[in-house]
Amino acid sequence: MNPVRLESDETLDVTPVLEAQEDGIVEEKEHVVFKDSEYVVNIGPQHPATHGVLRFRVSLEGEIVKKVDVNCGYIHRGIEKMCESMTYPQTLALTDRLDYLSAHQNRHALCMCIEKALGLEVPERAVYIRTIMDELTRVASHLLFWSTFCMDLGALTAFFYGFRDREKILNLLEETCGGRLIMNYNVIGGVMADIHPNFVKGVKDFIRYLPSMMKEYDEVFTGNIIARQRMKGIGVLTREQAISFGVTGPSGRASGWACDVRKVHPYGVYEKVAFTEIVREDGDVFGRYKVRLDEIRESLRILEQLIDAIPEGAYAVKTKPILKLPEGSYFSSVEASRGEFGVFIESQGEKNPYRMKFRSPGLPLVSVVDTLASGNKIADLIAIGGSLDYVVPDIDR
Amino acid sequence: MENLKEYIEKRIPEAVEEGGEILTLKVEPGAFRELAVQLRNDFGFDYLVCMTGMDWGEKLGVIYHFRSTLSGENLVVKTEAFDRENPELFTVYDLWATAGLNEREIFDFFGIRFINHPDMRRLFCGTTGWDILCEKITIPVTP
Repeated sequence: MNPVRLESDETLDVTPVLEAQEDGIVEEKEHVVFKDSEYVVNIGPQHPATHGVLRFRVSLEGEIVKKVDVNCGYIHRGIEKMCESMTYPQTLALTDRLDYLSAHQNRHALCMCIEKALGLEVPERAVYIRTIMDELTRVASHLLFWSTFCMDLGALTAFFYGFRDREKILNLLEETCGGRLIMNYNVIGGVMADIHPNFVKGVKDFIRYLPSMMKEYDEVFTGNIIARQRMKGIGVLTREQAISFGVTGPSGRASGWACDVRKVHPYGVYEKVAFTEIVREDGDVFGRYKVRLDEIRESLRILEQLIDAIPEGAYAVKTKPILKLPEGSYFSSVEASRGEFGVFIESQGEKNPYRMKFRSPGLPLVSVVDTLASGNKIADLIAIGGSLDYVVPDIDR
Repeated sequence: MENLKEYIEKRIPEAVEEGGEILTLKVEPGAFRELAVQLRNDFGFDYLVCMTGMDWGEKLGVIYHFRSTLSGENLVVKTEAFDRENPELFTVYDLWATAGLNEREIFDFFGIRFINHPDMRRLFCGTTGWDILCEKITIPVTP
């Protein structure tokens, strides 16, 4: 039997809701998403500006966006459900496939959560390598953000610049991990293999290389008057809204919320390195754009401090072939490229989890699109979506 | 945190504390809504980190992970719906906006309906749901 249904769903404009009356009786009522008189346009599921298979239903009045209704689930793979029938080492492979631009950080979170439950001590060398890999991933992710965001706003040269430099990181990751996008590098108790002999030199070269390129980035796009007019004051997210919606990561920090997990709950070796948490007050598209560019510089600073300090020793501890987590619930989170990525595991003492939940940073990001885009022009919707930098597999899971 | 413990002992003595690295409370669904309002307004838990739908076999429920952005304190609250066949819980959408999509996700996976939520649609599995991917643990997943 083909498990995939062949007929497609009808999109309904009227949805059921439950409303509690004053006397405590719950009544079923109807909620109208879009009225018949509204002019509703589909953006996506296949549209370059949605950065993946995501569908917006947008109610328009001329060029002005009235309401955005997000339709998710086009690449829902049921990853959390799949994890329930897998052993713990097997579940690791799926985290790389959530937010593929934060593959290392996601897997770091899951490894940390399992290690915490097992009481497993990770060798110092592995902790350093993990932190370095996390930061390289962050730089690569923010470079990709810059490239695609500029392309969304019409600057195609920027796209080539960004991808040219991101390629250098991917080459470094490929040498050590064997993969370029799906790295499969962190394992329970350490990392899969030791770093490649060229790795340290490669990272040092990259730290020297990128700052001069970032000057070019600013010349090409940041200072451009047309770009600034399209970014400044558009899609303002206040601090209260950011916290209420749970918008973390660079987007939350652009609204003045210091939510960096590396500072709030330090993990890895972030306690030992000096770096500034970039927080801006503007909260608009430009703020979110600038935070990411500045974070690249901070990540380079972290890399610079760590790359010569990697201690000698084992890169992983040997674990038992079958891992059973003690009964209980565990939660760990890391700062992924887009915000707080959390892992919740409920174990009943078996070799597979009873429930595994991933707190993805993407879902809150996409939930604020309606708030930010309403009242703006349709072209601003593209700029707002680009600046939030959500990754769809992370939303849909 | 001490204030919170005092408050809970006074107002919701039936809330069960569970061990673990984070303070975990288990409350009845009837008392949950009032506790949530207090947590948000009086105890400063303004950030809802994570909402996890749960199937504990006999009952369906939700686990909430809260954090205070001011003090950095964490709190976990568990609650169960009374009726497995027709599970209903009160929404916290008006307190934490992030619950809007998360509650739709939980409705989609576990069928828990949230009272007073403005838009109870499925989030991922289309209009009618996708049985093969239904996250209810009792339904076996064919490989």
